[in-house]
Amino acid sequence: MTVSTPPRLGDFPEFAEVPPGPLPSGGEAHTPGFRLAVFPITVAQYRRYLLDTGLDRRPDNHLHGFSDTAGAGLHRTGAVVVVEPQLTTLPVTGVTWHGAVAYCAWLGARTGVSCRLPTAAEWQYAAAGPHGWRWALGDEFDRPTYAPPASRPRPVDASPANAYGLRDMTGNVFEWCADALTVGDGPESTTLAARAIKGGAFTVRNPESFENSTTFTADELTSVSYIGFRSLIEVS
Amino acid sequence: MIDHRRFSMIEFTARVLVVGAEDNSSKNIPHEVELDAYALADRCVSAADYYAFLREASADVDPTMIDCIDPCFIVHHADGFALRPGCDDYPMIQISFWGAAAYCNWLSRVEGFTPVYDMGSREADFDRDGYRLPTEAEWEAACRAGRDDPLDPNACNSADAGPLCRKLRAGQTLAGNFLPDHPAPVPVASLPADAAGLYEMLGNLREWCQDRFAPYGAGRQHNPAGASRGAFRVVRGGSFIDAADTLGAAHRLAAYEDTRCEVYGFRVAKSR
Repeated sequence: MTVSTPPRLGDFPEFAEVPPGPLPSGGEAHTPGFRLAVFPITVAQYRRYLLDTGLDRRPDNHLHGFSDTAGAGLHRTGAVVVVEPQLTTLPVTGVTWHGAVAYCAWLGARTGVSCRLPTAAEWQYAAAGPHGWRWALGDEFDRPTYAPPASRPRPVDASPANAYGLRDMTGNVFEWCADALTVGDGPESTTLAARAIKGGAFTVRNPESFENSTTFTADELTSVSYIGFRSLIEVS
Repeated sequence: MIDHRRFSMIEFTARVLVVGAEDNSSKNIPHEVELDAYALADRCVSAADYYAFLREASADVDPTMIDCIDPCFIVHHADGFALRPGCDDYPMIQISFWGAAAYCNWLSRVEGFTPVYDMGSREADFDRDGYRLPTEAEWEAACRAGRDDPLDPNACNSADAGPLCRKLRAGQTLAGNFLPDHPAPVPVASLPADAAGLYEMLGNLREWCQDRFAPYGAGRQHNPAGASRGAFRVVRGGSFIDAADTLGAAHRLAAYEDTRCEVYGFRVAKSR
């Protein structure tokens, strides 16, 4: 009998293979495949980044904001960021889009790979899986699995994997993607300081808000308890 | 007007009126209501009004009462809430019923009144003298007192607003990351006041009222304040996404009280 081992929630994220295929961004867009973090980046994983870079002793408002009170897994005591050992499997939140980008750059340099945030199209493609489902686990909105009543994030391993092995794509916290919010087309277009977020969160309610194809945006310096992120590794 | 808020309170005398409408809905049965005197804000609470509360009473703020994803006029950065540039006069949106109640409590304390809401038990005490949300009967009586008939599409920000009104919408300047050519709110008090001196009662934003939603009964009521149980609150007045022919003094909708959405805002009321 084969016993499957659940992915380990260690200090470095585990990645799942997402195969090549057509991206949902329209036209001829196609991905050669990529590896995407199985879970949103956790408190433990972001803590490792803070320690490795010394940011735990000089937190940077451009990258992240942590509350003075406990409950989200990381909080500030004076100028120091402190971890709450019972909450290390929560998705890290309070990280700005810039903080998410910086984490990916650090992880890539640390592990010798090309690491970045997914685009919204890559995120949707990975979440929808081989059947192109509306939500990560099917075409029915399963509220108890995706969006039980909550006023804060839950651990990232609370729901099952999709066909690519990705977990927690739908619900829990929104996830930052690379794309900027652009208004208009061509030379007339304006790019705003806002970035795509995907997957829905405990703060939203309508099933449509959680759909793989739905994209919201948020100011790129936003630091809130309902936006996290996961990293993508490019295939070499 | 005073420093910490940019709206005025309009006094309404005690009155008896018929609320509801003959609209084939058993939920909306016309019936007589007797109201004591009250005051209602002439306009919705603006983003700048609300930001004053967030800045000065940050310890009282549960950050999840406010949704700070686009579109929104107030964002939350690492060092706290921030009012986006050019957004001062747009109405406060993306707040739950309890986010509106928390503002009422703060305003009461600032002006020396007793807060109406217990945020812990989620109860309201109407015997207290502080600011609160209007009951739907108070809202409807005020709307009927000022009603302009028929609606002028350039003076009402409904889904079918006219060009003069659409020019004022947030998307024209990308305020709050509302996008051009999409329905969006207009600044508070940017359209003409009605005969009672009230701005944007119909259209622009659905306004949170105090009452828990329930179908109307047919009997006469004194100062009705809604059902005693339930998580759905009445919202009144319709919004920039609602068709003009659905807007009216008697039109009622229900909204889950923790909803934070860009079509909901509020104005405050006070017993006299």
